[in-house]
Amino acid sequence: MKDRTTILLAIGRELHAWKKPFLISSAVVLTLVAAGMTALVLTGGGDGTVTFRLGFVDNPPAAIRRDVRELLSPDSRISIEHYASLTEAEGALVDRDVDALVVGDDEVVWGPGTADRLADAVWLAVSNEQVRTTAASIGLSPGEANRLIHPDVESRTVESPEIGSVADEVLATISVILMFMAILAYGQWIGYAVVEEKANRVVELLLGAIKPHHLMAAKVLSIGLLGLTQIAAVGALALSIGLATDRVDIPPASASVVLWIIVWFFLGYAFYGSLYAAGGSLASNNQEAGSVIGPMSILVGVGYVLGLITISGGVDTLLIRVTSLIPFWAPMLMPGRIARGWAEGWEVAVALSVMIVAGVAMIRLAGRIYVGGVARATSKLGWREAFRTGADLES
Amino acid sequence: MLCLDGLRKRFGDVIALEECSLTVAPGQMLGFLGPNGAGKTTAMRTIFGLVRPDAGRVSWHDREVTTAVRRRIGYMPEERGLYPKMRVRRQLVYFGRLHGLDRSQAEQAVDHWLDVFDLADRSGAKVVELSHGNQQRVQLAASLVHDPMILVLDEPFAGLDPIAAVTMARILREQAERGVAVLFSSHQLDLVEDLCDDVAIINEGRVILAGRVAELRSASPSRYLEVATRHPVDLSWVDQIPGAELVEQRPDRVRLLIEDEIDLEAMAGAAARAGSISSFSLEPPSLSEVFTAAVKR
Repeated sequence: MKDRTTILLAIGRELHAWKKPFLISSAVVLTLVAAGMTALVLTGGGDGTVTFRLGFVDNPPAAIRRDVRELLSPDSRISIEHYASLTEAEGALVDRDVDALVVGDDEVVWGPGTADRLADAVWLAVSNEQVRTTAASIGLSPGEANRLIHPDVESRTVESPEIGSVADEVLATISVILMFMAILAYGQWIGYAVVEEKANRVVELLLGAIKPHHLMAAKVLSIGLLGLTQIAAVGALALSIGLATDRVDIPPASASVVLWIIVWFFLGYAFYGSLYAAGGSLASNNQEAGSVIGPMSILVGVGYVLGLITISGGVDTLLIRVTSLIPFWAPMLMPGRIARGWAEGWEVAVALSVMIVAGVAMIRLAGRIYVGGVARATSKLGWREAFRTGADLES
Repeated sequence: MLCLDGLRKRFGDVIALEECSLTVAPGQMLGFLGPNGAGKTTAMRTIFGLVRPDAGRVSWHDREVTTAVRRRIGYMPEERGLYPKMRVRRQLVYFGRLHGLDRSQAEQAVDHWLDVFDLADRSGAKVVELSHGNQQRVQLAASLVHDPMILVLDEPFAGLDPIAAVTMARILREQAERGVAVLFSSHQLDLVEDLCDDVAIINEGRVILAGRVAELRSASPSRYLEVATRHPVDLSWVDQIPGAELVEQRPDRVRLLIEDEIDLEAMAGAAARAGSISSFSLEPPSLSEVFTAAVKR
């Protein structure tokens, strides 16, 4: 019988065995995503809007309200509270019931919680109203007053290639989260699947018919396939709801960034998936598995934290540049750096080469540990002991 | 012929196998006996490559045991190996296919063995839902489903009720008659004596005794004399026989370990004077007694 046939059979069994947990976890995750996004839509959030509360005393002109609204749009809204006296209004400002006050058409009052953006907008709106009043008093028409307020000034922005677009930042953040989720969740599935087979000794029956490397490969491939499907389903759902409710703009990011994310995803998953399989083979029960798999998860977590800090902080430090070349963290850091336009060509080439070499080495190393681990039906094995046993069996 | 030749294996300071050798021919059923920790399981695991011996060789018909040969071996591990949450039929079909059968062959074979083991009505159950005995049957079915040339069974009778044990024994005998080389370990020596023509006894990693059961028994220098009387009698006559050791005693029956040169007529006379004899028999030791003597030696 061909090796490919046995691998496919083992993949089929794994897919069947994980069908129920996969469906349940997918249903839970999809429900949470759908519920979360629906809640954001219903509460008006989720699109980055902030609502400022403005207190009005002595009936400020409607133009001030209109100007504040225009100046703060589109990502902020205002709500207006009217007060009968300045004393009452200032009390509300101190109590933070409102964020700022407009008194009549020529006075503004800031409070302890007034945001700079609001202060700028309110000051400008009241100033505009003063310009309009002065313009009218010297006989200028409203149109001429408007030209004074909004003179024709041509403006444009030169994008810095180093900073990158918001869309790139979104993609970079997604890549970090995606890698973390995939490696941690599905890596652990692999680890525990290996432990289960070893604990109930079924692996001894299997190894009579299938080579240990192939058994490990079947596990990594099948659980990886389930993981990818789940992530794709979550992404598709989130995107569908976002598009349907106008809450998402499809990033105009280049296809190359997406391609890089996919490439790093596969490299990272193969690297860590093999490592989790090897780790699982050292344990003889789930309790022991926790003590082996736990430290691996910390390793993944370090990459995740570094990735998020880097992407959200917008700073490409030397530490990040170096760690993004190291295989343990490259899958979580390098796609983000590529997406942000920070990674030099040579850095990408080096990281990729190192990752491929390390990935192949990890698969071979993990395969050997796995062989030694599953063959020894004793309690918890050390990495070195499992490797020696594996090397012994393969020699 | 399955041949384990001069196997040696150490795990750290522990010697698991030391010059361990045995053979099992097609159609032969070999009982593999030994106290706990003697090396039975380690020896069996070398056949599958789960343990690589430090020295020695495992061969089938004088050739290395390759993956192709391993796929023709039926194996039953000591602590049982099945997916607890997988349904019986699906699991057996999976094992059949993994060992080289196509889907229809595997399904046909599974149906056959489910019928043989009277498990057809539980084919849709998960293994974990079955009784211990039924799990044992599924385990044996898993080792048989791909029509193996060699059966290696580690304690197949452990935990079986007498009826299930009879069924298991019958199936093993049928497999041997079909030409399958059967190697199984067991602590139930009476059962092994009934079932096997040949045994190998291992102790401290070394096969210390091997051969046909009848020959091993008769080759023993010891003999057992069993004397039964019609009524309970005073057994003080036994003490008067020099060279006889009382090994079992009931009011109307005694079993003595005697030396070859003992005067049987004098002994019969002493027994007759004590009471009316209903039977007087001289036997070679049972397999259990041969085993105990060999391990203690």
